[in-house]
Amino acid sequence: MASNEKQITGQYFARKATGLVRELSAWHGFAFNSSFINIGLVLIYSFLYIPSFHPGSSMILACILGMVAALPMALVNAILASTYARSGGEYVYNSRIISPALGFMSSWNMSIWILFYAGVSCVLFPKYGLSALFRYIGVNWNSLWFVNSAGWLSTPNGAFVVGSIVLLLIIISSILSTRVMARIQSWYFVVGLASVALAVLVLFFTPENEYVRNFNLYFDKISGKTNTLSLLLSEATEKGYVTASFSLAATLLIFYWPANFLFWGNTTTYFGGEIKNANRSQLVGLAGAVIVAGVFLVLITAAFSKAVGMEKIGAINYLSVLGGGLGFQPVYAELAAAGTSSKFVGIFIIIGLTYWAIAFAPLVLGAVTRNMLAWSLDRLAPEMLSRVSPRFHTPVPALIVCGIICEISVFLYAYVPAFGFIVGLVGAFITFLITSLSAAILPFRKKELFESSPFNWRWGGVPVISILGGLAFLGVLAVQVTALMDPSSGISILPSRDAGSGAGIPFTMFLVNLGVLFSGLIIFMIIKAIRKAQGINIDYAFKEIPPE
Amino acid sequence: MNEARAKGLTLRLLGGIAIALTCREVIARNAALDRDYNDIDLTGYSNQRQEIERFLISKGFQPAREFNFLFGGRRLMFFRNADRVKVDIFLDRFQMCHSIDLRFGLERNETIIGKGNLLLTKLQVVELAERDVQDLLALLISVNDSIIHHQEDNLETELRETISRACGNDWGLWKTSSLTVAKLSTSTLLTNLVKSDSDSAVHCLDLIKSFLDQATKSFLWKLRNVLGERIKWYELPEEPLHFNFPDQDRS
Repeated sequence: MASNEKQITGQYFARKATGLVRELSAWHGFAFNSSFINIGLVLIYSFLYIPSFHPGSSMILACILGMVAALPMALVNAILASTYARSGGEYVYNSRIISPALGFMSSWNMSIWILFYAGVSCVLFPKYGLSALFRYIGVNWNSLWFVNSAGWLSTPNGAFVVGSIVLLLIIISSILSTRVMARIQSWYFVVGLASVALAVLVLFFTPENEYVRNFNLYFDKISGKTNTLSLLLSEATEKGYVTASFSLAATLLIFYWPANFLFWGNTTTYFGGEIKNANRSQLVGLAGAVIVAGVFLVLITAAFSKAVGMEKIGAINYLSVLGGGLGFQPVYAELAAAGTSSKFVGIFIIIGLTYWAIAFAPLVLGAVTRNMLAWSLDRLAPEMLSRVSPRFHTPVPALIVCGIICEISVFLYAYVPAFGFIVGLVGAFITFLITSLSAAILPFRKKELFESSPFNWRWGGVPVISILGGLAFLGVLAVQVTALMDPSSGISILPSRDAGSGAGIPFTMFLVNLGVLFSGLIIFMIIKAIRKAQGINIDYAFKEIPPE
Repeated sequence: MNEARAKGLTLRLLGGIAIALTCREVIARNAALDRDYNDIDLTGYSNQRQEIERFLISKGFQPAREFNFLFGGRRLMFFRNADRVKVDIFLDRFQMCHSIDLRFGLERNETIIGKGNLLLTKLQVVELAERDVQDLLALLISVNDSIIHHQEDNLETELRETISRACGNDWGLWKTSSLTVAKLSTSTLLTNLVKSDSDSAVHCLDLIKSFLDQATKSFLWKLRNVLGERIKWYELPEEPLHFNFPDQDRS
């Protein structure tokens, strides 16, 4: 018998008893992380602030710098998420590597901010996506109803009403089937990415005079004047818009705009337990998303520079912020679509924009419900949050909690000007700082785990993950410091600063960020005390990776 | 299983233990087919998920909470530390290298799933482990004996229909099953069996091969056949990491 066994062993694979087919592949990782980075929103906000208010800055260089700064963080996330292939992302590794309190605080902080941005996403969908789409249809097919609706969609009331409906639909769909939602999002992402690629091609192959002619044909109908582009440029100059030759210093000061988005491509870390072939998929999904998004940003900026010139884009956006010009902010997709003579190409580009506007929301719900599961497994959250509906097999209680928080953010973003887009940057990025620190100290705090991981590489005797952790830390710090230095960022450590919504508001927002961060620590201490009173020592759970 | 049935639950055995129970006599006379069993595999309906969970918890099992949260729509996992038993429950479908719908025939008042599906759950394995070969040969011999000795009415028809339905609509499953049949035909383990059983296994393999060849192929099957092996046609299941009993993780 023994010899028989020996004879047949070796011909076969030594597969263990339990096998599991995970559903999220490297492609899903790439799609989800790219959606979180969100090329569309980078362009909307970078166009709004970089060429318009920072003369001499180079958006192309800012995108390249942002990509270089964000790449170490993506690699850190990939390595940590592969080493701790569990639901919960930074919560799992920060709590195991640094301390349970910091782990929970960092995860709580991130969860609150990404839920805030999920709500923001629901507002952006009508405000930028549908509004541009309706206007484009209205202008090209001569429908006043569409043009008027576009105007209403970008008002606070329109954005709040439609944003709330969109949020409700996303929550209901997530309850009914997470799998179908993931499938829809993957395909919608393809449309979004293809639309940006199409915009690049259109702009590269449209001569400047033709672009200007098409632009005027489109926007003249909205402004009711002729030669709208020239009029906008004159108006901007009158109102103080200036341009300057290239300045590295100016570029370094605003690189945080594209960079802060590029750091966000970390969604798949929260889905760690569901990623197929985690070592490869996390690396491809996280690093690939940063590189591809960075390349697309450079290409589309170069295409706009070639077709119309960034100084004109700056002038149009300058007027948008001051409240003049067209009376609304024509976003990159509408500017690209207006430049083409094909209505159908134009409409495809704008449909792609609708994806980028809403892309955050469904992913955030998935990510935060995984965080809640991870907290619940460690008894830091009620067991109810890890409960799934027996009918739909989805975490209904956790989704409802997320929905309520998102709805608050829909209201805040629609009606409270102080809650500008960038407002959560400082707080959320503290979580990234903690995660970079986790990566840097992993080989020293968890020697055995590090040595047994497939990423136990060393450069000159120093663990690669420690080097990457250090670089990621510096990158995050650079983004935070430059954001705090920019007077127009909407957040400041100076109590006197006014970014357009009132003196002292940016400082208040800074305090809000700190409040959200430290509320996590207070909640942790309260839960720990409650569990202790129940006779449960929660520290015990953090000694190991959570059991599956 | 009886208690589950009394509670109205549809739970059926599959996997190694199901084969061991089905092929007791064959394994008894062929030591080379005897092996250890690590866990209990079951199948049931996804709409009975909550009842299944309650039932197993009442029997002293602990749910694998993260696993069940993430994959519970299609699969559940439970542990019982006292006797180191792990239970793996496939809901509606068996999803490994290929996906097999197990709902058909599940209502029959039996403890084990039908032999056709039992065979498919083993034929679909791309990277055959030693125990898969042992299980498959035991099952083939048992099936052949039952057909020859008319121990089960309509077994041959049931096998033909099950294999035809599953493999005629799924080119990947058909391809892997065909490859598995070919691998088994040349398995060295055949020489370690009682001669008559070895012959039975070979005879049954020929029968299965004919069922695979004669299965009515759907339009999608034919379309996929054009692409052939140029595109990967199977999944490779991964090992869930740190898949230990809860107390082992804390030791």
